[in-house]
Amino acid sequence: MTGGKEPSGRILIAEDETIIRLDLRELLERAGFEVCAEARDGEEAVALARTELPDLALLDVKMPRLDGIEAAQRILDERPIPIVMVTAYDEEELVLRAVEAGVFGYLVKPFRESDLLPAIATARARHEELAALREEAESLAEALAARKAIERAKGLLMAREGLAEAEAFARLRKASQISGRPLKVVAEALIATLDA
Amino acid sequence: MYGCFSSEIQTVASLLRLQAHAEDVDPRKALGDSVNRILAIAAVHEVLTEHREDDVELDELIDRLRAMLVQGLVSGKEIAADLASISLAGQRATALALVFSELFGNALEHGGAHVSIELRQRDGDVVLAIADDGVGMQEARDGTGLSIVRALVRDELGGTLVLGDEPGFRAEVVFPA
Repeated sequence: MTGGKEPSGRILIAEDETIIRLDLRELLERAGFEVCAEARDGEEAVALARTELPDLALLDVKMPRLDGIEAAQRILDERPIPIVMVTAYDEEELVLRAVEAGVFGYLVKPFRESDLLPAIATARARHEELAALREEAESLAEALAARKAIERAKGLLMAREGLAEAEAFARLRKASQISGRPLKVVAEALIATLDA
Repeated sequence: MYGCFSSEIQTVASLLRLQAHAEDVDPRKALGDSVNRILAIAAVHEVLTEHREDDVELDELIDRLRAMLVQGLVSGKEIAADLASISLAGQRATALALVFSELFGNALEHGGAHVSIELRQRDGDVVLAIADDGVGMQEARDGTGLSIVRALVRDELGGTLVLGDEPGFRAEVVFPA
């Protein structure tokens, strides 16, 4: 296991073949996971992901009604969680589609008991990486938006009040200190007033 | 249970692993039971291949499984079979083959001298009943086999399993045709 963490968490299994599903459930439970839901097709998997809120989903790629890839896509659209796709070794094409859908880990049939935990660990690690990247991108976007607002407010103050850049910025900062609001908020309020 | 090679092998591997995880089971019996489960799946393939059809005639399948399961047994069992002509699609037939061989195998092992098999249609449902004159319900009849049977009846056949003493032991599987 990567990270040395004890396996834990609530898992959704979707597999149309009963024997294989029983096997997966038992392997997961023996490894310390809780199997919170079992689906027999893709549609059931999407519905159960919505109501049971699993931490991770293990989806067979070939299922009736809705295949594993479609199901993964819908689950990820609603609430991103790590997903392990169970495929047969001769389904390479499907694996490529799964990558595009944003699936993070693979288990290839026939699988060994020892294949299961690494596949789950990989899916979790990649999911966390992506979540961290997303958060970083969001804070970068926010910083950029703040920067833009402050520049624009400064420009307006300079033009309307005949201030130098440093003076304009000092004015904004003072307003921010007095009001106890972030610079960005003060700048946006100022833009709204002066630029109306 | 009916598809490409690696999925088939996966089913067999899963069957073996489920048995391997069972506790307090005689290893010789565990292996024998597992062989019977694999042969039950194979029997469905044989019937499908011979007839080149998607549906399996259940009476033919049950006859075949019965001959196979009785073969390795000490004689002295009297088996009565009353089988209607009913057919089932590939994957569900595989589920039924496993269910039958498990229940019939149990009856041969734990039952008395008489075992009866009944397959018939009732109000649009298929009924498979296996009865014996053994000592009835007992813990020895629970375990990996029966948990597989329960799951297959519920999830693949969409039916119900009723076990009862009458006296002896009777297992009845009812599912929509």
